[in-house]
Amino acid sequence: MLVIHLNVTFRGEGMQNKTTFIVAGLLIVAAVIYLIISSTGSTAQYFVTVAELQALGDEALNRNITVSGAVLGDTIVYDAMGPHVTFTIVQVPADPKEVERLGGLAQVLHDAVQNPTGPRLEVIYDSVKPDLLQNEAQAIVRGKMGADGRFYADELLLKCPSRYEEDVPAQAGD
Amino acid sequence: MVGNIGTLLTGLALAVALYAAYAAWRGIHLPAAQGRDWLQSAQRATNALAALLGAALLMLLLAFLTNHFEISYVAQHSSTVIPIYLKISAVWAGQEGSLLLWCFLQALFAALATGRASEHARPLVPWATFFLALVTAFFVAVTLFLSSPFTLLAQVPLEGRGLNPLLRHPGMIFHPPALYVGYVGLAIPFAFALAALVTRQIKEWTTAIRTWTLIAWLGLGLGLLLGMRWAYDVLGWGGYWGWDPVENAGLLPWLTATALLHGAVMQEEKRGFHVWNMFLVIFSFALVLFGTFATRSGMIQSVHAYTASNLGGYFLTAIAVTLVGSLGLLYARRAALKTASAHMESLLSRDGMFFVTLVLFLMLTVSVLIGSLLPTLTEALSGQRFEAGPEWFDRVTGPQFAALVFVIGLCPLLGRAAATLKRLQQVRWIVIGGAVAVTVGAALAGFTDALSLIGFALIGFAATTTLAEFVEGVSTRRKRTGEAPLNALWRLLRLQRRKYGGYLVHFGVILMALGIIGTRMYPFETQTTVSAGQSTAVGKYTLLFEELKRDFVDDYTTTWATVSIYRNGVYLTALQPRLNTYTGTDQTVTVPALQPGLREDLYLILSGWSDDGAAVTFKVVINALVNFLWLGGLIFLAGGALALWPQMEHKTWNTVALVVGLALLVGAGWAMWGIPHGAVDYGSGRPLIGQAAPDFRLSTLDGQAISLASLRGQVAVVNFWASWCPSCVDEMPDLQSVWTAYQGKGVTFLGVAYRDEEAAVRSALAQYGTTYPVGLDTGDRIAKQYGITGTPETFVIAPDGRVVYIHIGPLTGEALAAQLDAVLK
Amino acid sequence: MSLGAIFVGIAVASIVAVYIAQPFRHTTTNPDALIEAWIAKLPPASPPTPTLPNSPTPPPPHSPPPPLLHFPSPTPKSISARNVGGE
Repeated sequence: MLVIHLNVTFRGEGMQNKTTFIVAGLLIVAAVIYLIISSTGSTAQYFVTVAELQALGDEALNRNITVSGAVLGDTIVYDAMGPHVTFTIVQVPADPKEVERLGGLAQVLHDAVQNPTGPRLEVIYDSVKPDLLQNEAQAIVRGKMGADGRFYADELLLKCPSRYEEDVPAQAGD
Repeated sequence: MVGNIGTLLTGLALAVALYAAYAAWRGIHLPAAQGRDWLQSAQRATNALAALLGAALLMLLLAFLTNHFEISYVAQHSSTVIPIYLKISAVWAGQEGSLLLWCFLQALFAALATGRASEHARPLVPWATFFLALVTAFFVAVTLFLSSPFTLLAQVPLEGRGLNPLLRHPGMIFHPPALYVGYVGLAIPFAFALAALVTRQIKEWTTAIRTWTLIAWLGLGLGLLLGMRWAYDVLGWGGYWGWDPVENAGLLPWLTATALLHGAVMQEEKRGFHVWNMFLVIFSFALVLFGTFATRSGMIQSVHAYTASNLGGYFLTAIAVTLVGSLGLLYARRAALKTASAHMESLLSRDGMFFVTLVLFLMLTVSVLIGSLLPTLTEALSGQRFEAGPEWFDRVTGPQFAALVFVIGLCPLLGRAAATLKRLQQVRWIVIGGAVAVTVGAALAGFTDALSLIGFALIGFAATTTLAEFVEGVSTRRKRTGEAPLNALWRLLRLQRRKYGGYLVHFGVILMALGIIGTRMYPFETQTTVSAGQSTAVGKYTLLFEELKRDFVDDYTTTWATVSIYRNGVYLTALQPRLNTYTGTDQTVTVPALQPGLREDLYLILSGWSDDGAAVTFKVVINALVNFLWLGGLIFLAGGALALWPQMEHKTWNTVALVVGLALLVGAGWAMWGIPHGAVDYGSGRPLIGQAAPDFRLSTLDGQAISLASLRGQVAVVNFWASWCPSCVDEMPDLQSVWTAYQGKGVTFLGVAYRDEEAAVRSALAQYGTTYPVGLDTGDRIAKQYGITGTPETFVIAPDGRVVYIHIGPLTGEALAAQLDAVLK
Repeated sequence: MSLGAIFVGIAVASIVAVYIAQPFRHTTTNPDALIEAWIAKLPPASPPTPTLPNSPTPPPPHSPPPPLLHFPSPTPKSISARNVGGE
């Protein structure tokens, strides 16, 4: 084992020890890089917009997906007894530069909700209705795509619409 | 006018900051006598900067306290109805105000660091003044031109919008200032490091700014802990850390600052690490800038971020300039750095393990950074955007944190390589014993997941070696001085503050690891719907939903459910999770109720209710071992505070520092546990069916004193009612008729009037012809014993004294008769 | 920008400016020494007559000394003594 070997050959040779250090350091680095790559391959979520999700089609099934969109307020149906929420989100571009070009996030969310032709996705979330689930809120939904074309959410994160231009952490559902 | 003065002060501050940089530059480049004047002027400018920004902040505070709604920022975050302490904290509730606070802290720290520099630091002060003035100027410029808190509204609203309800929590009040102390504090070592590079005086700079690095590190740690506790208390999802990019923005510089602290120890002990420390301090400051970028630019997808603003580009430029400039300087001085570095010994020695520690922290930082930027990175590399969720972060950072716990365990044993192994040999039995004890204990307590058991073993190992340090230190001291153990411990802590402060911090981290393993590896969450008066079982808990109530407070409506909690059948407490709806903003906030325990927390959230309030849905989360997280956090802070405790010449100042430190720790402890968490104490609580009915003594209206115990052998019906309660009055005829029917059959009725008056009671009894004994419950004595929360409530008690039936609400004669028949059989 | 704010701004700016510029003000030295130095630099105009600080000026020849009042008059000695003391 490396550890015992070090002890036995300890003679204070500068060069030899320097190599040992470099090797040890590289080992740790390599291990971490492996962890990162393997985790990205298996557990990282596809981070998509509604349009991109629809474009993925069947490939999207059975993968962890994170999809973002604007919440349509009048589609929110909440059954407190379940608890069980369904709502629909509308396509919102993900590229920040694009968002800036179109007038800022608040404007983009507003436009998306007003647009009758934007791609839509129905979301089902079996948990308490988060307080920030309102019209024009930006929703980041983590879960899986169902074969029925609806999205089954495990986690729902919401960012408040334009009215609050401040640090408003969402009430995350888990 | 207040707003205008604020703007003028900020503008003046910018000018003074630029002058300070200029004066420092001239002072450095002119010969001695003239240079000295310029340098003194630069120092004065730095002091004036702090005063000006402090005054600007004071103006903002004044605007809040006096409701100056013509200032847009005040109107957005305050209102006339919120209490004063919240008005004060509203100052940093939003981006503009928090930036101003940042500027002030930056200037204050710069003034203190350069004005009161230690002997080691003095040669570095001129250049440090220069760099700090530039940094301050940048932040002031950003505040003044892009994000001023003093902008005025064209029309003055009569009322402000009020403070975001999520921010009305002590954790959130102190979390930003603590974090900012951390962020801003890291600029000091950065500036002094650059100064050291420029002047080639590389050996001593870590000693020069040791205290500042510690203060910044402690500030970040406190800020992170408060943020975690706030998330746990307020956000209502049962967790405390979401690996959100903005959370990570606070964690990243903390990781590098911790690495820097360790590297600085090595540098002070003359064991090299000069290049490491330079990299770490530059990286830390760049991460501070990255943190503000992440929080304020909206470019990173996060639920925390302030909305997209135009600040992003400027911060990105600042990061680029910082990195290019500092690393360029580092490269230019590489010769000096090489000669300064010392030889390193074997991997198992102190140096070696510190090296491993630094590599681990660095890789942790890189991991978290990559995770936060994964969407951008993956899109650039592969065209498909991926996001790193909590799963990703746990998988990647978990093993690294575990490795760190292991190294923490090795830390007290470290000497030179041979010595380390020898020490390990000596203590191997104690250490193995400790590891096994914790693992077995955890398994017995029900934590049997294999991976977590490895974690427990590591924790046991590290805890044992760390505690052994304290034990050994105390016993050595006692051998010498013969002091009592506690005295010896106190003396030990006082005399070797940095060493034992460090070990305390390590111990705190070990406990936090325990909490993290419990909550992350044993998550439990469920949803349940209950009707009034019914109970439901969740794990070993029984939840009994009593009732739903609503009230109007200040600027919000609050609805809460009272739930009695029993653990293994024994009454624990009553919890009141609530839902608040804020009238000004139409926002709803969930306020969870919490029953803390050593093994786990029971976490209850009110999620919804039926229209008539008769049924309610709860979300229940059980967080295993989470209180070790908060306890570990407190010990961590205590250790940091101990290390910071100054040893000055004036004994009084030292005592003052001690008192202040203790007060702050108590405050932090209160933020962790002392805030009411929705638990209501109802005395002993309602007995469950099958439990013994609490004994009581009732003084009836006709002068008798009847005790429940004396009714053994008979069936007892105890009815809690009140003459002012309509439903109670409704059921009185039924009760009387049942009484007359069963009177001679070994059944006794007792009426207990709850919060009532004799005259009204007598009149009600006369009106309905009640003949069974009735008495007044003075002072709610009996009601408390039975956990009464309202009337009417009826208990049927079997001849052996156990409760066999409870009915909340009015009872029909048939129902009661049926119950009595069942019992009498 | 209200007038009051501007005044406050100017006042604060002045205070700050004075505070910051203080190290450059080396001129707070002894004014007497300055004056002496300045005098010493003067070109000597006439041979310096030894002037005693309190030499009694010779009375103008033609005019008799003004009649003394009936108060006891101070003697010349006490005059010079007082003058010396009052210097």
